[in-house]
Amino acid sequence: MGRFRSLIRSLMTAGRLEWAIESNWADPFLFMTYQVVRPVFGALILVVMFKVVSGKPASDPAFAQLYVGNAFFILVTQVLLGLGIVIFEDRERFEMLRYIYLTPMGLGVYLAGRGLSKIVSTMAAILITLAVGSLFFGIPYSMGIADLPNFVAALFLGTIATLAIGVALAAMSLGMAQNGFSMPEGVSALFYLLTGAVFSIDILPSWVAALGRLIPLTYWLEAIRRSLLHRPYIGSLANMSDAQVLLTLSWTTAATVMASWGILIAARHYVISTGKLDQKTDH
Amino acid sequence: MKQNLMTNLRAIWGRAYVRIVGANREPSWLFFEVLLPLLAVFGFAMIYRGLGAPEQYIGFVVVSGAMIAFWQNILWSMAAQFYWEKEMGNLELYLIAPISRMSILLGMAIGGIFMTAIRAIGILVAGTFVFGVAYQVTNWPALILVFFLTMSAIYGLGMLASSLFMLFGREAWHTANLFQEPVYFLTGFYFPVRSLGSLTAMAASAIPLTLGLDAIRQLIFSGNAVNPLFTVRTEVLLLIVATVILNWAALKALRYMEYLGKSTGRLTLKGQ
Repeated sequence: MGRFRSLIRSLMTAGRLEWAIESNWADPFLFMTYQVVRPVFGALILVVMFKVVSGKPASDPAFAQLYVGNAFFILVTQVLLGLGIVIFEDRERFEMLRYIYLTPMGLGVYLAGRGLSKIVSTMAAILITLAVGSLFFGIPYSMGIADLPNFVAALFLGTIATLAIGVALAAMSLGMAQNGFSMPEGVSALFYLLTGAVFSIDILPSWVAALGRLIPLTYWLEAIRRSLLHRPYIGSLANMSDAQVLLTLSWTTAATVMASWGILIAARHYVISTGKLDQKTDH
Repeated sequence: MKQNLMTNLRAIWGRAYVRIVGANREPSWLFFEVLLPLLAVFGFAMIYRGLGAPEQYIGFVVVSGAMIAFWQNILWSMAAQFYWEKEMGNLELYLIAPISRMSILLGMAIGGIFMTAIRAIGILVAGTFVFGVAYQVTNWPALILVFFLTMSAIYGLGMLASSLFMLFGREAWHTANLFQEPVYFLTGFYFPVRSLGSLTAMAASAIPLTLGLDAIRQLIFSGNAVNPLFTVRTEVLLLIVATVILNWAALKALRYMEYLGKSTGRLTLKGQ
């Protein structure tokens, strides 16, 4: 029990630190405006692309699938971008990484706490993007009470999977020079491509689509779409029931968490044994 | 006079050197800066393919992907650069050196254009190869002229923005982020800008990238350009005007913001 309380306290401390670094230069309203503008304009780009090509209005059911996938993918982008630069900032700008390493909480808990704070602030951006979709583009969400358990379970598992990927990315950056700063954006684009965020992975070459089916985020987005829109999106997953999608999401998430943990241990060992934990590489 | 010119030319080369030569000492940047950004371009191209769009739209995305590289370089390595320099402690060294601030900015721009050109060429080549984009250039001199005018105008905009960022604290990061998707949307990176409606498109042409991108598309997909904003001739004239105004404004703004920074004590204030 004591260890659990200590874990929660560490997570909250790291989360508060993330919030302070990110937001205490502005009042909360201004900060949230900054948080929301980018995703909303990202969604607007999709609206125009769809309209230009199909000539159909944004309320078309085909667009709703695309819009919802994009709205929830904001979580992946923000968490990866946020956690992907934590190491570079703590190591090279604030020069605090060595002290964080020495604290009893450990790097894994510290990174998870920073990521959790990012998740909380990003949820507001997702909600606003979804609301914009409904109010301005007529996206027809149709989630009933019966869909709620599926939705909550999918959201929880998807968040854990995203956090695990973010921690793995941050762990990998431990041994990288400053130019790895742009890596999170690229990795986020990789997941955008492979998980069917805005197009069905069935149009990808079969071996690429097979890779996509190993990633929990693919099942997360599929489960979210089914809960909110009551229609499967990816054709090759259409014969899976909602429960099967959730089950697959569960085990792929578990595998991702374990892989992330392994990467963190290996990266920590690498930087300690090579003396790179507090290297300075900016110029 | 001659001594002054030589000192400034050396300063330009010195600042560009870090980006042209220094960065290549860490070859992993090619993976992070060339290969990974390709995936974002592929993502948008696949959206069009998924929607069953005509092939020229995929060509638009590939060309825009190359131009986005320059815009990101302007945002993060021009506009925000003085903020990073302030945090690293280099800004005060630039300010006490017997050189023009514009030499530092010009050196950053030249080095940035070189580095980013490699990324842009990588995106163009890979995008062309993977998606089989067919270009139809009938007027190479005009294309080269438009490209250089666009670069002169948008890097002028970057220099102008850098004077603002010089006084920023942590909002610098968020402000640079703020000028990504909204600018991609307004300048028509992924669709013909006229799709936003004529009035919005006209307003968006205040950003020189809108004009440059539209002209480049007209010249690179001759006969296949969808719904251009203006004729290439008009866009060239507007880009010349933008280049002159933005670079002049950058010079003035830099002096003013330096004075403001000194008088309010914010010029070398770190970790705000």
